[in-house]
Amino acid sequence: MAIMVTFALLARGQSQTITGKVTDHSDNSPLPGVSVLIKGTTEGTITDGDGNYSIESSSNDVLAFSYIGFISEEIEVGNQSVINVSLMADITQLDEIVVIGFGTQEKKDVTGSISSVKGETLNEIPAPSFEQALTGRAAGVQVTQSSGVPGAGANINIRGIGTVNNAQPLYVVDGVIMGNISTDYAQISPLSMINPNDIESIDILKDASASAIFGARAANGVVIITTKRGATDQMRVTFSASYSTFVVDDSKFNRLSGPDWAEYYDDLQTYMRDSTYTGQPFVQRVVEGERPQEYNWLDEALRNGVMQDYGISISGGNQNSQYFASLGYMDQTGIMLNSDLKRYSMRLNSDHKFGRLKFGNTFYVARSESNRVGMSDPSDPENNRNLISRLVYINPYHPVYGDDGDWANPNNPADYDPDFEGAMDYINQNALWRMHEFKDFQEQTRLVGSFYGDWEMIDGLNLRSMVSADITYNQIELNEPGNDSLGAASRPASQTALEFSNNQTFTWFIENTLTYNKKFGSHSLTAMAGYQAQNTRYTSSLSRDGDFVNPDPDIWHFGTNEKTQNEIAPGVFQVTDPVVGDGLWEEAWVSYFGRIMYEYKDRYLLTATVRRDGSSKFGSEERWGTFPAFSAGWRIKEEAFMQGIEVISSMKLRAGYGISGSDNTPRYQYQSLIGQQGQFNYSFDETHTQGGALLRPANPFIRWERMKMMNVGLDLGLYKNRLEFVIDYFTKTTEDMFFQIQSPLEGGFESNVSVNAGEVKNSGLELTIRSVNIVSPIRWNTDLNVSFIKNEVVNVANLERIGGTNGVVNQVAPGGEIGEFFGYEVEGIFQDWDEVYNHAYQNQATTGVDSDGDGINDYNTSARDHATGLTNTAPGDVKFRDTNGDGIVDADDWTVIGSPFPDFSWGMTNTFSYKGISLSILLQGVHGVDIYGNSYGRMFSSNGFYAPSTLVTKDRWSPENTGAEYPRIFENDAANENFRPNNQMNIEDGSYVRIKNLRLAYNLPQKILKSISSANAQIYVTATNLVTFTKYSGYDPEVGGSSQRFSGDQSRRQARSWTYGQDSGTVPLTRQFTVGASITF
Amino acid sequence: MLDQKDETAKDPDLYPENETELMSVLAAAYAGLTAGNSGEGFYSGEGLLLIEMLGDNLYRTGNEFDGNVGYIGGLLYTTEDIGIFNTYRFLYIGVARANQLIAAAQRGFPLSGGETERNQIIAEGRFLRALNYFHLTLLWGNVPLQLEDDLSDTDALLNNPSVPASEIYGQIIADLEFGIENLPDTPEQRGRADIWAAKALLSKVYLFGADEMGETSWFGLAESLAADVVNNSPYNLVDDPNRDTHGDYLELFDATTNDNEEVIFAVQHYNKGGNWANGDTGGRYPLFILPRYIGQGTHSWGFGWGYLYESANIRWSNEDGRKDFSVFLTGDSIHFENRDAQDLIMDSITTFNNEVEALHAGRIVRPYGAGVQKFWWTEAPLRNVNANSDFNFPVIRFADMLLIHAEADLMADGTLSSAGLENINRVRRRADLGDLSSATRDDILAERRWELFAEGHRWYDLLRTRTAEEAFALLMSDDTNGDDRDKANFSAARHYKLPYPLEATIANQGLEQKPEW
Repeated sequence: MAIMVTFALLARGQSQTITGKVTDHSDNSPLPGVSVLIKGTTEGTITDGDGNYSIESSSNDVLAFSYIGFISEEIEVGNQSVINVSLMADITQLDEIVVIGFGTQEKKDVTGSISSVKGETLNEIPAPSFEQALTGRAAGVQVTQSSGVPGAGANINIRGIGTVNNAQPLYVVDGVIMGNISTDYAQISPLSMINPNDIESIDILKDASASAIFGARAANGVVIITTKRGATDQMRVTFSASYSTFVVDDSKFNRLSGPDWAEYYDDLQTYMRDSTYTGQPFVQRVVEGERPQEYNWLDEALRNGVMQDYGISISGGNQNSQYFASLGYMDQTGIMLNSDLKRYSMRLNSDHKFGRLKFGNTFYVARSESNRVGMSDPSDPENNRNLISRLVYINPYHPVYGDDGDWANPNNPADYDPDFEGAMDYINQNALWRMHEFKDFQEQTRLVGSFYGDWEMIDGLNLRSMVSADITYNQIELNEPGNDSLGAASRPASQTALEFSNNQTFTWFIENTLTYNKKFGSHSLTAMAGYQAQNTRYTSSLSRDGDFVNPDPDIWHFGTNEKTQNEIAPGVFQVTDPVVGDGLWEEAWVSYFGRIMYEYKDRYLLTATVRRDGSSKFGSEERWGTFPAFSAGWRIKEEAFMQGIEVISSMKLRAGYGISGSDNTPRYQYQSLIGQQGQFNYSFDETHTQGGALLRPANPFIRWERMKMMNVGLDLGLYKNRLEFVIDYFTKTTEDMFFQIQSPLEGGFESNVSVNAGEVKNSGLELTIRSVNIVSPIRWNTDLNVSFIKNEVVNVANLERIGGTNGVVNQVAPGGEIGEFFGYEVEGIFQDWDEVYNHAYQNQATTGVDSDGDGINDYNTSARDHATGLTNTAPGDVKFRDTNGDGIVDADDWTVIGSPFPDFSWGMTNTFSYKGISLSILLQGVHGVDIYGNSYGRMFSSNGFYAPSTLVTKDRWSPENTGAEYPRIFENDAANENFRPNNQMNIEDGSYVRIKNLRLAYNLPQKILKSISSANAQIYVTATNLVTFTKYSGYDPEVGGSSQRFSGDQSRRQARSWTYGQDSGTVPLTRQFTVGASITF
Repeated sequence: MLDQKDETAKDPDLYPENETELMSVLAAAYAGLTAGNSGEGFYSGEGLLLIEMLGDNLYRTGNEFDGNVGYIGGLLYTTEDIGIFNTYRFLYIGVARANQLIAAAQRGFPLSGGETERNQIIAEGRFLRALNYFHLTLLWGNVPLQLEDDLSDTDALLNNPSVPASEIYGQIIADLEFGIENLPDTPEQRGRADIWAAKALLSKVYLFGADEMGETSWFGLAESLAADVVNNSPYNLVDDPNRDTHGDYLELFDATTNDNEEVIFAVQHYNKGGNWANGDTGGRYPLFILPRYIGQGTHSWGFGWGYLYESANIRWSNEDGRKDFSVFLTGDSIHFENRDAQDLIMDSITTFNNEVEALHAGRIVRPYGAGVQKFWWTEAPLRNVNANSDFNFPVIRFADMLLIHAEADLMADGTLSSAGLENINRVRRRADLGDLSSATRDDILAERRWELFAEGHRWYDLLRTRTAEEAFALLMSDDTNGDDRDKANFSAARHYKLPYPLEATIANQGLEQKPEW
């Protein structure tokens, strides 16, 4: 190198004047102030106001153009006299600022594992809530949308699932801890209250060395959301608008048409009875060519959704004061009738400076209103979860409307063809009536305000205090109509109900930190100590009344005396009393924490944190937990021995270890309680007597769930950081996992106790590659992230397993994955009687037909005595593996039959830009994952009331179609239980590759902008979930993830938050097309 | 600020504080016999159903997926069986509630009835504790003995080994003797135990215990206590000479005549049209075993979980007036008391086992099956509003005492006195059967079988006399088509006593599973 430089100096050729213009590649606007330097010398100049420069140099010289925020260019002069340069904005941004909690850090100095996503990137996917936009953006961060219901949340799992409990990360918005937010399939996510347009950045703290500063609640990672703030600049006003449509693709539901249905049932009945059976009259009429009216229930229930989003934001300020204010309005109608979500939001963030004192505030108000019709049935939420399935599998000849134009009534024969048999639907309600007439309206209001002051007491020593309040107020109104005598008749008037439930939470939050920042010589030190306290109080009330005589819900009100009377005994009438309820709880946390970040010679980095948390969820003995973490970084590139290696532009090795915790367990577990519920009551003298007894034992030993994590990472930049690699390997072990365990039965407790009894290990590899592939004339960037995560349960309360019981296909068992599928392994389909009788007992006939009349039931001989196959296993049935070889197929043969977690997942963004045009494509893939299709059981156990799926009807086994994928047709599925629960038959490969997002944007050129006095203007179109490549036969392989579901017997089992990977027929994600524009003045 | 209390519930340290709250603890202790929102409590349904399925009277058709007792009848149950789990759990809930009552009554606050009332309430607690332990030891044999109300000693709870059944019997006898000393002659309120309830139960404990523990001297104790109840108590057989069996039984098993003179102690059920959450405490057992028919709205009257074995039908004389009342047989009509347009005729099991029934758990129906009708006469008109029965389920009734007396009388010295014979004949006369001139123990056990049919007694009689093998052999030899083979694999070592539920052995490290399991 030194020799070359010398040579270059000696070889300087003849001097000449070079002129040229430096422009911004993105919009060709001139760049003033660009430094133009002859390489290896101190000679140089800067560009003028129009981007022009002029410099004396020789043909051997190399000109270096550099400008802050842009990638430097070096150009050999050669014979040129005019050199125009177009500089690219430096988007690799190694000097990027990362939010690490209680401060920020330059990315180059970060020693933990943190993924950052910018607000602009999030906004590329227009969605009511930001979670969906995170899909595929960050390594190790798996986002699964819970459903396509407007405002539905997503499950975000950071580096695998570490617990059988809520595995959602901790959300911190502008420094205020919002908690671990768990979302359910039909819920409006609390996160959807945040207007995505206000988000400046999202930083995800993935490893414990980064997250431990949030200590007790950070075990599942931390998501830090920072909203936009003002700048020292002139006032800027931005208007934005977008319009999206959500397009439903009917063909993906595999719905059977009427004639196909009739043909199938004709076959079924002929097969089930005998060859002379004339069939169900109605079916015969259809088969013989009559064309009764056919109904597409799905079409009646679904529509294309629409989303409109409008926003205005104003930002600006001067040296002393900056502000950001915004107004937003979002209105989405869901693809399912009567489902919608509106959100109104307002924000004001401001920052002020007065001498050594800084202060400011964040203030946010949001209100959402949503109709969740058809999605909530208080008596049985599970029913609604699969409403889509119900609409798919309903018999296509079932009328939606009766002759009188009103809803067809399942109990009213007048609404049916007299030949027709069967109920309307398995819960005997007209599903469309329900969707239209039921009301489930939810209003949410949230106010978040915080105020901070920051006093620089002496140089480098800052005292910062923040107080904040977070108030939520929610109301749900349920309106469940019955019917008049000839109306929809799905529910009697005695089941009418009107319910209002209200709840509010009030959270206050205080934070004080003292930060000292000092450089001395080659040493640099930042030390921080802090205190936090938080208290949340929740109150709720519920009132419910029903039995309304008048079917018109508009006139219902509490206290009406127009109520039906239940005849509970001959001549004894009873009016059901209104139900009222209330709820109250309080939670509090107090925390002390400290962090030291030390840097030596700009190349040796050390971070140590410790946090001590107290939580009201634990008893005084176990209340406090300490969470330490250490991490170190070595910026190898800064070492002398690396200087000669030009190809490497940056290189940093990181390693860290830390412990973080979770207190995500029910409140008050450390106290025992007296219960006064129904089961404590008794009657003396035939009169109700209130009872009271011990409900639950105290568990003074309940303590933190702890997560220990080790992380090793390498950050590598090549070719002036045009190619960047980030590689991380981690292990993560959750210990003392909370588990609701059976309390000792002999104690006579009414409910389970929470204990710390479980261990789960995750390990994984994450790779992120960022590259600038082409710079000119088109700029092409690629961002790729891939993660491989392995999950292993080490112990759950010393149990053999939890789950993995009949109908609960997910299990958590030592040695396996959390929520893996457990059940019957399928070996194929029996092709002949030999196979049937050579196989272990499933339900083969042991008594029955002696077809050769020799008086012996000689099954396994050429005589072929066998059952008819109508009540027992026969050819065409599913062959289940007898895994334990005992000759009987039963629950003892259950084995692991699938995994709901991918072997690896990836996301790749390619961005192309040319002048003002930019195109970005996000591809996303998930591989080696299984989906348990709950709906298949329903498809097949059709007894004439439901239409099965086209899949099952088209490719079913028959002697003529022996290669079929699905078994023979059967009524009720009783002979062999081909679609019995916990069945590999229901499992499909859920791997997919998806064009998650495609966005084409055009930035208006400067000339036009100047003419309209605009600083920036953009129009764009996007397509989301555009194309999905998958073998999965259901609508969408991105299925709902887990939901907090209870088994029938709550006393025995706990909420199953680990039922991952089940496709239960939720509202799917659809294709979304958006046009939008924004303009800034 | 980290000391948070649940403000929605009472603090156990401060409860109960007065007589009113003590009455709530008392109610909860009685409710322990039947508690459970879905019939899990012993006398609410699940326990009764479980012991009926263990015996030779009733079966529940079905397959391995057929609900809580699908495994019980076919002896397919494992330690994970939910019926076994619930029965064990709720009996100990009963014990715990009784322990809490005993401790609560000893708190210092004054009572309007003074020390007499205090001892009386303690006696009620000990009576209830004894009843729960009696079921526990009959079903499981050796079980852990929990007498403390203070459950804060976690180590003790987690290491709570079973004690010999003899020790359980000792505790039961001591509790009931305390009851006899302190309980009133007539119950304080209907539904509460009196001295006769304690004497009747102790008499039964001695009789069963004599067999179980080999304590032959207890037969005599059982006999004298039973004679005391039969001769001196205000209770009597419901037997109107102007009525036939049907008429007497209607009074006995009708919710509208709950607590008739025959009922010495009954679990109280109460249903005003709501459910448990509304403060109603209806029972579920009648619903469990009555034929299935889905009525309108919230009214239904039967899950159809009880069918009569062919053998029981054969062995039960058609002359017996109790038979027609107790079971649906071929040709019986099932009337709906003018509530429904159509009446169903029980011409074969498949008639009432209609398609709706077939949909329920996909069960397979056996020929010759018949349904239980015993509690139907009162339930049919009410149709189990919200699936809860108003019927107060008898724990001990006078007819039971008559037969206990006769059996103890016979077993005490090998001869049956004329008083004992007369007691059997009193029961038989009500059943429109002729008098016996002499009776063997088998005759008495057979009388118990039909008199106490479907009331949760049969299995205990087979169990204590260790005669299940013979009974089940008969079950199969009487069976004409080879489908009543549920008990074919009965093993004395394995099946006379139940295994501890898996959850118990996991949570209580001190409880060792039985070697057969």
